[in-house]
Amino acid sequence: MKHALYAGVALAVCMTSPHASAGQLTAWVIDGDSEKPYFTQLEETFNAKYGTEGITVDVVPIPSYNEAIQAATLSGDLPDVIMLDGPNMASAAWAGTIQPIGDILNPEILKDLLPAVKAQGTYGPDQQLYFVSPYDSGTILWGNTALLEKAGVRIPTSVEDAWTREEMSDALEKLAALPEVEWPLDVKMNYGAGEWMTYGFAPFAQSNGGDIIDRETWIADGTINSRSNIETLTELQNWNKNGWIVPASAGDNKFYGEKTAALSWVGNWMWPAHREGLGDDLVLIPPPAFGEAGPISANGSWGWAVPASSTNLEDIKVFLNYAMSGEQVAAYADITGYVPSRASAIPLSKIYGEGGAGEIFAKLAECCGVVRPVHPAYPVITNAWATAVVNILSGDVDVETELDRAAQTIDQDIADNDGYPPFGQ
Amino acid sequence: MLLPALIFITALIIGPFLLSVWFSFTDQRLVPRPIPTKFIGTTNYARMFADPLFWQAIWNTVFFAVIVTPVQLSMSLGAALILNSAVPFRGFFRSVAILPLLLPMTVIVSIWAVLFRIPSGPFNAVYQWFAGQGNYVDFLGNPSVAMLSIVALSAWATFPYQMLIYLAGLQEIPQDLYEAAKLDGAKAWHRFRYVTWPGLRNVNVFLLIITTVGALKLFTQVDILTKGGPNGATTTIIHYLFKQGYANQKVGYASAVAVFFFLAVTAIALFQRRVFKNEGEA
Amino acid sequence: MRIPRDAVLPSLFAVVLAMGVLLPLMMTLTISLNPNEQDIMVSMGSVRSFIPQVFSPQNYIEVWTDPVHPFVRYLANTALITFSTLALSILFNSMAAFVLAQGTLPIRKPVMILILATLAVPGESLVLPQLMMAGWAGIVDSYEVQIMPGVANAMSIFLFFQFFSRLPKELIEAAHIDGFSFFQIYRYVAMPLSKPVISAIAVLQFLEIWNAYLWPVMVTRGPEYRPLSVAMSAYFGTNQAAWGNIMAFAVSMAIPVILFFLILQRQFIASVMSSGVKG
Repeated sequence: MKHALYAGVALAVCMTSPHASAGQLTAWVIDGDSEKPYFTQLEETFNAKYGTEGITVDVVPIPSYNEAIQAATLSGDLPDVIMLDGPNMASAAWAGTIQPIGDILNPEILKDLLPAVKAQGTYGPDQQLYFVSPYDSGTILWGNTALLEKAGVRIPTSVEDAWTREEMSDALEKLAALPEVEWPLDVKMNYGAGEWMTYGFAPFAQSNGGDIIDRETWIADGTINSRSNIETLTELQNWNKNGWIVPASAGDNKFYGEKTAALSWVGNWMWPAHREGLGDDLVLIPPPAFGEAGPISANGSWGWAVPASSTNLEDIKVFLNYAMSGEQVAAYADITGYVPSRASAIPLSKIYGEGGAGEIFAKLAECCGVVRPVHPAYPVITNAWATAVVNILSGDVDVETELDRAAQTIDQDIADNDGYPPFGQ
Repeated sequence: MLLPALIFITALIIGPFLLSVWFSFTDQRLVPRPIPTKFIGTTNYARMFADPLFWQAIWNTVFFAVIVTPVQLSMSLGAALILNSAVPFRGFFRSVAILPLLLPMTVIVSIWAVLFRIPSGPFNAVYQWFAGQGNYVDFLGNPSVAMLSIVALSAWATFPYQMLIYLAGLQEIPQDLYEAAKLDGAKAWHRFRYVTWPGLRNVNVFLLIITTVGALKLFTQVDILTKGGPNGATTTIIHYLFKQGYANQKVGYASAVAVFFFLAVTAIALFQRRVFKNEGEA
Repeated sequence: MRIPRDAVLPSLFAVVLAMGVLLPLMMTLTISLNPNEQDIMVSMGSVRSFIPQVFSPQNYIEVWTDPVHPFVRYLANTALITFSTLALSILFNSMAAFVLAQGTLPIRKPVMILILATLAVPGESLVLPQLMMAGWAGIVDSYEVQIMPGVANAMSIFLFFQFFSRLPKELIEAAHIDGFSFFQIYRYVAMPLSKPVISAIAVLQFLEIWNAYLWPVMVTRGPEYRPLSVAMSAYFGTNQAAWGNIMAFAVSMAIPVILFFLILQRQFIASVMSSGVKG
């Protein structure tokens, strides 16, 4: 028994991960079905191209990504390159866990980046780029033409003639009356109280003249719980009370699988699933104009960042510039259905180029995108907002109370961190 | 020979315990940040008691414990009585009844996620049989039902443990007591009431305490199935602690919750022990 | 076979009980054998979801060969963590309990009280300071960090202590007269006698580790060290639409334990039973 015991302990000690040697890079990426083929080819083509020069990369999809990054930050064991969700960049830069990458990216790439993508990756205090992404994203109303026509609903075709709030509410009512429709609108409540609730729902608020935090003073009270936000969320809450919104527990496929939902408010990552599920019945409808600001589409993306602990910058430079090269950016778009982040790549894209079925996404990115707040408190801001949205949309709670609570949570966190210096000074 | 265990206990229980008491008076963060950690007195406690979500978590946890304990213990006792009687294939039934204990909670949760599906999971199929087509219960999405769904799942998942302990208790009751009761013409119910139930007193006290304390720690099922939602309806103390300390990285604040939790659990266990021990002696 | 009259009602209840346990498990098995997700969704809730219509290993093959969720690695992690925890816990805690029960150390009593006092501390309330300490020690995401909390186990010291204090005095004295040292008495007299306690502790700790979730979620970051139970929930989280695969994962996880249990049924039941009697 004793020997077996020692063997067990020895084995436990020996099985720790081997540390990367020079020339061998490790990159952690998110574990998503639509991204998987892209990352596989990224690893293969990079290693084929640079393996002879002695640089190889191991691209590792990580399940439960955020928890994994947190555990690795604690253990001081981050890989050479990581992926971050864009809006969390400021938090990581403030905490000093990532380093600026503007100097190691080729200038032509920097020049070519879409403005929104660059804004998302630029940290306010030092105006340096800490984050870069091969793609941008957007939200849109996806519709099932067959159901919409049957209900006799007007289908907008451009941003200019987007539905107003009243029109959309009216459309939902008509759709709900159809016998084949169970809940007319899928807003992906099944994604849970995570980033989607900010990404997907802040546009409604912004369209109605609201926002989730004041971007000058960095105070949430008075902005997140403004009259217009209360109005916006009350409207959405009413839609849910009317039985117009697919509940969280009903699963993901009411729109594209069972086709018992006629509209879906979700990002362009659902392109492949929607295309396959609905075929020619699929129609892309611009976001509704909830208020005077007109239609607003979400934007932002996951992208590359370099941990402050990474020292192998020469090799990382080669990898990042490859991952952001024109062909790779185009490949990302073609494989995953996202909008390319480089202006020069958009016309090349089959989906988003002139006359492509997703042209409207590229248009929306130009006219109607609002970057999520670039501030170190973003994780708290988004969490507070998401909690409020989920609560409001899944029950009969008081909208104002929920938003007040979110405001208090955010402002308290900012105060607890002395205003996140040098912000707020 | 004493040292290794003592070192482990000190390093992994006593040390962290003292540390969490200390943390609870500071604004300690999980991951280091560029501004220094400060001693902030009782601010964490004051905020905790002022947070409605904290009170909701306590209420939910107490609600869960108060419902699941009697439900689960009656299931366990019922099952134990059946398996202690002269049923044929007793060995087979006993093996079957133990199965849920062998499945990790994460597996049970995913199985029950299917059972709870709307609008057409197995439970809803049964419901529709009574309530008619098109009706369904949103077991996990309806705030007033969600916690009861978690109760059902939890009772199913862990009842065999208490059942086995009841079985052991039943087998300790001297057989001649039953014989004597039978001779006196006692009906089954009377035999249970006057022989079995008093004979299980110690077992009952023990199980009541461990089941309640276990229920107060509810986390896994909730974290995977509902993340504390909908609308905070299934947030428990441990889930609240985890969310504040790990997801929001506020270790200082969460430590205040941990200290509170420790005091509450100890108080409840001591209280139960006292009440039921005294009752037994009277 | 004739069922005695007073066993009719209990038998009926027994069948109900067995159905209550078996039906969900039958459903799990049925779904896991069906490679057609569409069909799974359609038949969900009907009788067809409880009785396998097709027997396809496809979901199982997918689960076992998924490179992002390496099932075999998770299984090996779980086995290693379980085995190491049990071995270290039984060794250290029995040694300590033997000193406390049979030794002559003057501080035995206060030490025992201290150890018993730690029983009152719920492990869940300690996870954050433990996580901080693991961070300082640089062992987040490792096997050690998952093994150590299980080794620090006042309950198993207590169970050993109870057993060792009841060892007959004559036995210890006889061994002493035969020239056994204190350690030798522990090793060659006390331990061989304590098989029932060992198996009780082993079973209890096994169930604890098997169900561990909160701690491994916090201290593992990926497949390298992650145990099966956490992998299951991560898999469940990222493959919400693939019920066939999720259920195949569940069955793959359950089968080894159930087999193990069927072999050791008698000891298992006895162990759990004995854990509670002297509460």
